[in-house]
Amino acid sequence: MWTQTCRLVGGALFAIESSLVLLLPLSQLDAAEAVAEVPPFLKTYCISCHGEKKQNGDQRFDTLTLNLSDSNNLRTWQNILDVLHRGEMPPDKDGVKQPSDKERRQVIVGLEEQLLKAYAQNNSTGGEAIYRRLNRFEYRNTIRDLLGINIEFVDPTEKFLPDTSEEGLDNVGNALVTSDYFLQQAMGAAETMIQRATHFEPRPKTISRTSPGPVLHRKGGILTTASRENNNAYDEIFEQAARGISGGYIGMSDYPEGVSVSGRYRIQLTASSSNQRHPWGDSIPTDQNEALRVGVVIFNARNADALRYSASEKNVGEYPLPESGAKRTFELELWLEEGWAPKFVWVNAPFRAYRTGEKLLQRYFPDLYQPRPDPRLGTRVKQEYLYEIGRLLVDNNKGPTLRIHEVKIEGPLLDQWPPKGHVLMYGKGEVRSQDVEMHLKRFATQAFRRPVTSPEMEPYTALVRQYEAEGKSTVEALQIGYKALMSSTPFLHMPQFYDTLSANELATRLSYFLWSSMPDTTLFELASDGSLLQPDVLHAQVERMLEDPKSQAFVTHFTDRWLRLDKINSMPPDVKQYKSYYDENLDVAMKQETHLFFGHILQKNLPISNFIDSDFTFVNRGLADLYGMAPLDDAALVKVAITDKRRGGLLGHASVLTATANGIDTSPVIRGVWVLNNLLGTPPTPPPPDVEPLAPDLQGALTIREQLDKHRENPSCYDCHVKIDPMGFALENYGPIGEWRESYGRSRTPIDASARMADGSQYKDIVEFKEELLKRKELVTRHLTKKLLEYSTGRIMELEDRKELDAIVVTVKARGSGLRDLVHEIVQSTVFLKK
Amino acid sequence: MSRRRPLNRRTFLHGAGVSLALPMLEAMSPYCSAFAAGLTGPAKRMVIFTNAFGMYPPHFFPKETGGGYKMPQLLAPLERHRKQMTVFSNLDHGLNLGHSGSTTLLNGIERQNASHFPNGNISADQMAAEWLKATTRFPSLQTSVRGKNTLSWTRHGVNLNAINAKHLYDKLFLDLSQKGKQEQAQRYREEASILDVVLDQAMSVHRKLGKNDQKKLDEYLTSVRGLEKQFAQEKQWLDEEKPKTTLGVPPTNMVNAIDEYEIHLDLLALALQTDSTRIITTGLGMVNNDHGLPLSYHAYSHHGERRELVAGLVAIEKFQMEQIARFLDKLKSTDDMINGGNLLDHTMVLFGCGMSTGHHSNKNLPMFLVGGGFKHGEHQSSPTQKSQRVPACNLLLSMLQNFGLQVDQFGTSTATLTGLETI
Repeated sequence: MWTQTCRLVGGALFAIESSLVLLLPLSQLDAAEAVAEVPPFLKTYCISCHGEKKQNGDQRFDTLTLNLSDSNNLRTWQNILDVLHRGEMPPDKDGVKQPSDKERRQVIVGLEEQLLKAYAQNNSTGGEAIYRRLNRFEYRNTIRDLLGINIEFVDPTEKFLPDTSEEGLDNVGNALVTSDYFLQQAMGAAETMIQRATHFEPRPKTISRTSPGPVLHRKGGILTTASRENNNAYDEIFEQAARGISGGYIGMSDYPEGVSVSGRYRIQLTASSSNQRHPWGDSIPTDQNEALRVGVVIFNARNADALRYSASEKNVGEYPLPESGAKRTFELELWLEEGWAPKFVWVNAPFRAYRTGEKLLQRYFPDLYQPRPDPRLGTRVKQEYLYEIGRLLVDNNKGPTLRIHEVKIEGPLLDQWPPKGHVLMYGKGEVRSQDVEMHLKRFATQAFRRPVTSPEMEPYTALVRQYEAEGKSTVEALQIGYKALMSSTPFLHMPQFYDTLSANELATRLSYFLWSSMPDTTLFELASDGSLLQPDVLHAQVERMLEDPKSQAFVTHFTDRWLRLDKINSMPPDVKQYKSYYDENLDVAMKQETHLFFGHILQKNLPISNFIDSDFTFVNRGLADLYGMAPLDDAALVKVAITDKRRGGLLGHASVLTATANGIDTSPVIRGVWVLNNLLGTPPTPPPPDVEPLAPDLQGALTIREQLDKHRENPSCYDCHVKIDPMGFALENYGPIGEWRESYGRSRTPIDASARMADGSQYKDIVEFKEELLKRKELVTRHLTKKLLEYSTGRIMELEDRKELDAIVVTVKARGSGLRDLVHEIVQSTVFLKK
Repeated sequence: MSRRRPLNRRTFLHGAGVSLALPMLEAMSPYCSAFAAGLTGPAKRMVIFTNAFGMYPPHFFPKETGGGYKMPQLLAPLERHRKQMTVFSNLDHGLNLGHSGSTTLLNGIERQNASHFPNGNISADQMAAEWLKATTRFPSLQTSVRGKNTLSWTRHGVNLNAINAKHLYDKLFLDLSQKGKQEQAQRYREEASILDVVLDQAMSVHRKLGKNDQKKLDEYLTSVRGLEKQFAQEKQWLDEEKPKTTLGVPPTNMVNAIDEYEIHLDLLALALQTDSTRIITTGLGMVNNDHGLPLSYHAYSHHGERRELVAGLVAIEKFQMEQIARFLDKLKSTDDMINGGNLLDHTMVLFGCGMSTGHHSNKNLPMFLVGGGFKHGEHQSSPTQKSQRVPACNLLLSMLQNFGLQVDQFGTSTATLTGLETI
């Protein structure tokens, strides 16, 4: 259906009864026919108790019309549908005429269709986009582009509440709400961001600083500290750095508070490995064929201790070291916000293999080893003992370690000074009171995303003058003016005054579609002379925008919303059973896989059918392992060919499979609904009220298939589940994080992933299931078109849009159903060009 | 403001659960100022506790009704509060939302249906907060300990965030310095003048828009005006000193569940004692390894009747009940500086879950009410027949009337709750 249904809560009754009735095939039923059956049905089975003479339960139907735009009527019909679903009416008593099963189901089908249409009508926005607010994602990106703030490190929206979404999309104008809470947060964010973007200080010098090893001068782990005493040339890492485990990080004592200026920095790191091949394999289980890898991590040195895991730290690079132990130098350029600093880790270190070294010393150097002193002698004695053991081990170490020899940091590397955002606010040079209106106008043109008039600026100018008069400096007063501009509706919302979008309105819609941010200079220029409205110019702009790295916003955000990947980590899997999920950060990797997948199909204009089944995907070390593919060494994702037809397409992606499970088990119903909703675009009707949720009796060890089979014996459940369940059974071989499994858990019951679909076609496994889906690939193209139209215009498509949508699908199909072509067709469509 | 003495709320609460058909007189408007309310009766408070996964039904609902019922295993820790407590069976909102039901405990309305109701999907606590206005420094507080709290909804559909113990402490006791206060006062002035400017700007946009867009822009206009009012209210409190305490600042990231719960609930009691607020909602949660349980709360809720998992779930739930019992002890032993007597006398403490069990049911919500000035001591079971079921909003309506609001309807209520009377 086109819009989400809305269940009115009027007078819903409770209790469930179900009767086993012989099931007839429903495939012959036509909804239009079925509606015609409704009034005679009421007359035959209902009116005698709910009509002129009697009104049992205060319900009367003889005067009821099928006019569903009346909300009282709608509520009554919904009640009728509900009791029919539950088999409660007509009541199972002597002398009460019962409809045949076929009659009952016909009426249900007909009523459902009518009611869904009526609900869609209720939710209709007249086929027009409704005044739309910037959502959190768009707000963040807009701040980045307006004020030049690095939003990777500073999140102006960190206190904002989640956006309300509709059908999975978080940028639907009608659904997004502007509340006093939002406005207050936006005002606060504006003030903070304006401060951050203000830089009247002189241009910071670019400094280059070399820190020779050891770079850590304070106590680290016991062995790291002992090693430093032993040699004066390098830091040594012995163990894994991870959440909950201290040590394993080498921080830089030269930057106790991080860098003092935000900006781009160049880091040169010289490192080596030692003893990649070693004789202590029994105690230190490393893969001796695998190179040791050094990792660079950045963290907020003002908030966190270098030597402890902090939630905001980021991995920025990973480099393999030669087996020979030769030193290697790596260079990387990155942004460091003021207060941030780098630190170093041994990425593929063993966990807790060294610890304090006692066990190793005892095993390999028994004559050096001494047992621990009596604990009653106190902590200091114990500490001294441990350091002594550490020294002995380090002196004689034959095990693998990683060494940091030197770190050079150069920066900030500045493209311009003052930075872009500052120049937008204050220009270059002295800020004079007589220039206030000029400054405001320049800023407003960008903030409002259109030219502004002097009369429009008057109240803002007056505001600034008021504060100047009270003694504030021109700069301070201007900041209040900018805060006001960023709290105004032309900034926070996207006004559209014309039925056919003006050039400026089009520029805004286009940039928030492909960049989730404000237009850039080129787009503003093309809007100002109206040339953006020309189809060939529009086409060229789409190409330019897709090539720009800012289009990553479209690739990642649209994919997440379309496929509902926001559900990943809402119910995370068990830490022990799915250790790799956490060790390998699979939640991050699996989303990246899907993003890269979408991005590649877009980039190369590949056919949309690739979403159903493909001969490639993107994996890294952790995902390759999860998928049972040839092992990879890298934490970065690379494109791989798929030879095993069980993977391929979105249904093989761990992201989709994890988002449709609950971290503990899987359900063909949940996954089936996902396939119907998000891939085929043929959502099932919502369940009737008071469907008792499946309460798994896991002691009885019924498989989910057996439970669902029982469920489908109920005729009122059958009609929908015969469509839903077969869409999910094929995926049962994939566990809660997308791992392949042949049987269920401890019971070892083998998994049967076959099913018969509602139209009779059958499949025996995921491979055949995908073949069946490929036969329906036009549905996928159509649904993706709908989703893209909705995402790009900020409104849900309605019945009136059907014609235009069909036309797009036909055009795109004739050219091979390429995804890039589809994006172009959408931008050129009437739906996109009109409000 | 009307000088008439507002109608005594007792004329509303018949206790027989009869719904009123009286016209809404000006003095009975829900937006009587708190000042006027002070003339009618004691200052009332409400505290609502919840959790995200419900309560294991066989150990929660008593078998017998009336007084003298045997306390089931989960309620046993509350035995000493039996006389001030009423347990309810068979109340719910008639919804079927699974996990999302947790957010509807205090309103009985799904967010997407909010536009069909005159007050949107505002939750009972926020209804009371609107009414109380700036009587207390914080119109209401939303907190959570080791879990989530999604109970509180504003009139405009904003689901309020919950804070932890450290944040709560700062709010209650951390005063701004003199300089800080000046800066804050200045900020209120600045923001008020900004709001004037943006309001004018928005009105000029409004004039040029189509009707549907205008309705949406109205949200912005309402927000501007709402903020203006809020700033005015907050300003009233700016120069007032916050209460002092000898309690230390709670650590962040407390590992031990007992410590964190005790500290948190003690702060809630202090918040009431100092009259910093009179309306609190709190979510009670569990973190892996609490109570020696290795799995997650979610995992235990999916017990499938397996014995070890049920045992784990019951341990989690029983702990929450023990903590509530301890909180009630605190209220009982603290003087009520405004009303006299002890704090529990005029504080309604409600425990309820919008999702009743881990099987995603929203029927028969586990609920009990303590204190507040009602007659207690019984297990009240409402009818189970479909046409006679009682909306949980009836209980909320009774609570709101007891709080002082002059309303005869709330959410999906049909009347006040039969059998629940005030002392």
